Amino acid sequence: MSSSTKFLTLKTCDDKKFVLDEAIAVRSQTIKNMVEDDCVSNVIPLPNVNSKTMTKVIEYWKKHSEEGVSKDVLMDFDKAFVKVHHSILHALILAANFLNDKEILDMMCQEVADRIKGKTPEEIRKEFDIKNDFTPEEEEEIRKENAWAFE
Amino acid sequence: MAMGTHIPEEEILMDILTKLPVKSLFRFKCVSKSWKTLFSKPYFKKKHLNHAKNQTDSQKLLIGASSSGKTDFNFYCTSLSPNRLLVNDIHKVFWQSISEPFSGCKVYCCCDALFLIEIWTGLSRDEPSMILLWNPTTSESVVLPRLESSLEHEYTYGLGYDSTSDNYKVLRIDKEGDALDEILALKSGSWREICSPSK
Repeated sequence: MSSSTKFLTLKTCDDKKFVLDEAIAVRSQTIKNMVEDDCVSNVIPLPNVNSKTMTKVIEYWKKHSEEGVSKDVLMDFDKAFVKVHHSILHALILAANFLNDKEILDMMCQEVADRIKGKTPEEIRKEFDIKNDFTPEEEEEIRKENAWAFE
Repeated sequence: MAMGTHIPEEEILMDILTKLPVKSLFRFKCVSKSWKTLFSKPYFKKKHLNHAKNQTDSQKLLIGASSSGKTDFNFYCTSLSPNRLLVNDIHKVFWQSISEPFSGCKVYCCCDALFLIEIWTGLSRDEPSMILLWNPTTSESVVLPRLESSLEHEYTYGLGYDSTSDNYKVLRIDKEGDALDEILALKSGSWREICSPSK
């Protein structure tokens, strides 16, 4: 069996190399397309992903590729996986987007949504660096119309 | 962000925002003009609905209860998710109250969390009723255009989504089957007679 296992080498933007079973690496649609189009040489460069983020992604890929793991164990794993610092969460979203891994992307976006759902509009503006372009009167009007959402 | 320009951040933001509860979206309308516009776009609403439908905790039970005081009719909502089936999860649904006298309410059906209900505002059920489409999540409702009806007929109503025309439609059927059935497409806002195959 080991003779049929193909390995791919992924190189992150900080020049770290990761050797990975091809069957696992193709969880990334981006890598899968490269493999299918036969444009994989020895090393696949990942210019948008750093090694710290890639380590997390591979941790996820490996866990979700393991055989005989129960649904509950995976759920607990996912729960712990998303409990990361804001900056790592952000990096993981960009990495999942670049690697085109919809599963990780969806999970991380859901985590962001869960983290911001209870915030006030002011906190949201700060978080996403958005300028308030309403006049105070306009904003007051919208708040009044949607008072139930502020309770 | 420093990650280069080819990352479609708009798309990622869309992905995040469509996963928010409705209440948060209504609150975040006043974040900026572009957010408010985005939330009102049909493609955003559709994406949000499709996401919500696939959530395991999206199934809810709506309970209507009238108190002995008669004019009071309340709706309560509870999650049907097995691990949340707790009494304290039941919350009262804000009901844009109809201040007139109130003699009855009937829930016909629901579709995508829109409820089709009939309300009798007169002193008895012999008086004209109104048909409403109600969204308990946002407490918005629209009264459907009144249809001519006679007391000799008993009607029932149905609500469905027509994906070919991307339209919600309401059907009124005469239970005895001698009057013509009527269908209302929400986008056109008017009723039209249809012939059912059985007639």
